[in-house]
Amino acid sequence: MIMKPNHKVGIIGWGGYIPKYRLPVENISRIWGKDAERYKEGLMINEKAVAGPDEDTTTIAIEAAQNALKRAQINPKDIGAVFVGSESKPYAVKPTGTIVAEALGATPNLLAADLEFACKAGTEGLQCCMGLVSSGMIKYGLAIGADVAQGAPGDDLEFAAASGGAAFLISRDNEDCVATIEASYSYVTDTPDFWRRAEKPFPQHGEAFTGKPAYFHHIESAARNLMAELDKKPSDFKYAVFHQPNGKFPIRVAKTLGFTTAQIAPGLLVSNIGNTYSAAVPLGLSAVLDIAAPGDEILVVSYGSGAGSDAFYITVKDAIEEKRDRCLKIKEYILRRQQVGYKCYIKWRRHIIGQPR
Amino acid sequence: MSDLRVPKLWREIPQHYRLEASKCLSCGRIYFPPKTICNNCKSKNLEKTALPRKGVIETFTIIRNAPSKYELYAPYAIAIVKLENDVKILAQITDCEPAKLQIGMPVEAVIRRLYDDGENGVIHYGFKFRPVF
Amino acid sequence: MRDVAIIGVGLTKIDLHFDKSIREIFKEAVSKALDDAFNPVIESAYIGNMAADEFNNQKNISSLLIDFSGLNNIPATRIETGESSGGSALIAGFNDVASGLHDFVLVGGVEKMSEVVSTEAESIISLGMFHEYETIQGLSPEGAAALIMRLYMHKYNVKDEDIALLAQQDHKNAVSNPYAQLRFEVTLESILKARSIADPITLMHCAPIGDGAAALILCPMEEAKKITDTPIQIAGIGQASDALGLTQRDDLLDFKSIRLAAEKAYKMAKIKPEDVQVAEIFDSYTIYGLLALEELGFAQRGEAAAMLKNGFFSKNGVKPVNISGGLKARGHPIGATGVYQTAEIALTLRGDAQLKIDSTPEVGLAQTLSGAGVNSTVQILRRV
Repeated sequence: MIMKPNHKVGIIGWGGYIPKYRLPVENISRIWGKDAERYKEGLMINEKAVAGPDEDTTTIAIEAAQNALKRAQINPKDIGAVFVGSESKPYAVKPTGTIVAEALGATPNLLAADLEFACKAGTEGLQCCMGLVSSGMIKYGLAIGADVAQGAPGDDLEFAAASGGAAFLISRDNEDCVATIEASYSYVTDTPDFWRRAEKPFPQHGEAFTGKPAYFHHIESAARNLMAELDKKPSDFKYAVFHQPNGKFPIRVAKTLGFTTAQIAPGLLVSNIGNTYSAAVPLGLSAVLDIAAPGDEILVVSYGSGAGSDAFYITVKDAIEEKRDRCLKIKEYILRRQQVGYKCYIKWRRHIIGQPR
Repeated sequence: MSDLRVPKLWREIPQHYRLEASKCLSCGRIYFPPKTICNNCKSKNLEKTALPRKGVIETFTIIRNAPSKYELYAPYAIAIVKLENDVKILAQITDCEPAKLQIGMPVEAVIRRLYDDGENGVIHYGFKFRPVF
Repeated sequence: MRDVAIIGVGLTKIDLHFDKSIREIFKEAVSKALDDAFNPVIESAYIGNMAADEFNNQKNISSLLIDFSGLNNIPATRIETGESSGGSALIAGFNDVASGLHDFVLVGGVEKMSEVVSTEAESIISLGMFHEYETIQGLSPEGAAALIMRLYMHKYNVKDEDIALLAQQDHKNAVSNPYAQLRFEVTLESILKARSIADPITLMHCAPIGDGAAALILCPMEEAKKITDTPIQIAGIGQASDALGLTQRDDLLDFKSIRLAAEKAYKMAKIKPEDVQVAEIFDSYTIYGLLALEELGFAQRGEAAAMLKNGFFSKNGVKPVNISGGLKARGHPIGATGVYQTAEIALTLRGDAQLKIDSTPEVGLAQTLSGAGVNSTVQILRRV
């Protein structure tokens, strides 16, 4: 069902964060005796962003949120809700949102909650904020998608599972907003294509089952239904951002839905930074906003295993021009790059038995 | 050696997350961490203020023999940073190759994991600095 | 206020005494000091010790040590000011005698560090730093010294090899000190090429870990003259503290606590820095030794290294410094170090064979320091 707020809501600030370190596909394939080209050509991933030893989902969420706040230039005390969507919470029990809120100076009079829905927990936060803001229950809402994604050593996931985060401050639509979120559409079913059981360090997945009945079915359904409800067609959009577990899936889903490569290229970051899970679509949208012009229309569709998709129809506004340069852009984070080796990566992820933690 | 005392660091969150300091309303001196009496003019009239988040490295070292529970990060840099308002702060310099460090280098504050009290313990977050980019 | 004299000195060889308890090494020092003082009846005791709680799992250390030294039931107090604990214990003992409260007072210092592995020792010594703002950042005591050393090198254009001269001199001097832990000479190259602990500090810029105990017997000067021909007067004492946090100070290279402690001691002894003929300075790290030479008024700011180079502070130089071998080579059993230093100056002034120099000095100085200038004591001794 289409979700359209009674009072229009907009994005008043956005920001992302990508760690400095990169693990090239070759550094992983060499260890496991796999063919790097298969991953580079087949999955279109060259390297992935790796969190430093002192980084985790919380620290990533904080920097992304700080960037969003720099662009919004609002009083943090006016933030009424913080949602952190992630599947790599540093604590199993203890909220991430409270730490983020404290770091921003938004505490104590606000709602804070952590969301989990595999890779789409970040966009759920956007929908929560839309409702709370539109209804007038809160003034501003902060939605963050952040992950230090897990992939078991040697598993195909390891080639892609990456770290990053992005944050959006949601407001009633006004002239300070950089974009209006016109409508959203969620489509969910019980489809176990990828999961992680409690207290297990790494997720399991259904290999090919993650494709047609999972990723493609949900994204296509959410996108088509949203466009149908709004009477929109792919050519109406300047940009489209789809969930990007690899490079191949979003390109194929774009083609199926009738979008061109030019429409998806600016928000397709996976080749350079990997799959940042809950942050993948939020980071893609951030990268698009970094370059978008007033009047541009954007389609955003996330996907979370288990399974579901959230689609959004966003139109860019004038304020984007003056807010764009108030913090580091996604491109700058991508260019800030230091390559690391597999052993360093494994050590930082604390995977070596008996190592100091 | 001893495990982290949770209230002891929880109490420091305003300083560790947001660089909250205190400023003497009589002589203007700024204290980090905050003091409630001014060492300079002995005034007890101090108010909360936030420190700037940018500065330059005044001096630094690279810790190679790390204290226990910091071994994962070694080698790592620690510097005394002179902030934009001349207040000094001691912090780890993260995301920087040791060979690139130098006195005078511009750095900015970030929030990182400061101390991880083992697999079952609390994770304490706080400021570090990194090269401005 | 009564004049106070040292009439007994007892030292143990500093080493990794795996086979001896803290009780045994302390008792050895006390027995030697008592014998040296012709076994007076001790009325009270002050013991410098930094971390028996952590190294030895023992609080109430003063009662334990006094009991096992055979000094039943006397008032005994442990004094802790970090690494300067020994110096602070001496001041407490001095006050006790000078005030007239007691006549014969034992001042001891002991640290038994070898019970723990080096990383544990490191963590224990780190407790002396500002926990929430330094230790939590991963700073080590070596790191603190390194921050200061780099700034010193930068400001005064001094090279690490110049600072290393102090470690080299210490090792040279330690060879003839039977109580020293590291009785061998080292080359400058070996100091510079040693394993880096915290750049620019290598292992050879740092004092070693060791076990040791030292003891002094204090009494009023009038009594001392009846007992010994060589009473050594404690002519001046001074102590000063400074902010624990490095960033709390305006100038990192200003070790104000040493300067203020020295000013008080000089004033009390009615002397000037140039009147000091021999000194034991506190070089837990070589850079702290250089700063001490400057704050004590023996060298201009930034010039201590140059004076070391021209031999001013060598054993047969104008003002011999650390003829014991200093903290680097005599050793640094933390809470005991200040007592060792004072004892060594007393022995030198007495012309004792083990720490003798060619000249016959009358005035000597011992200086302690905790951490990076956190607390300092200065003791001036005079042969009467």
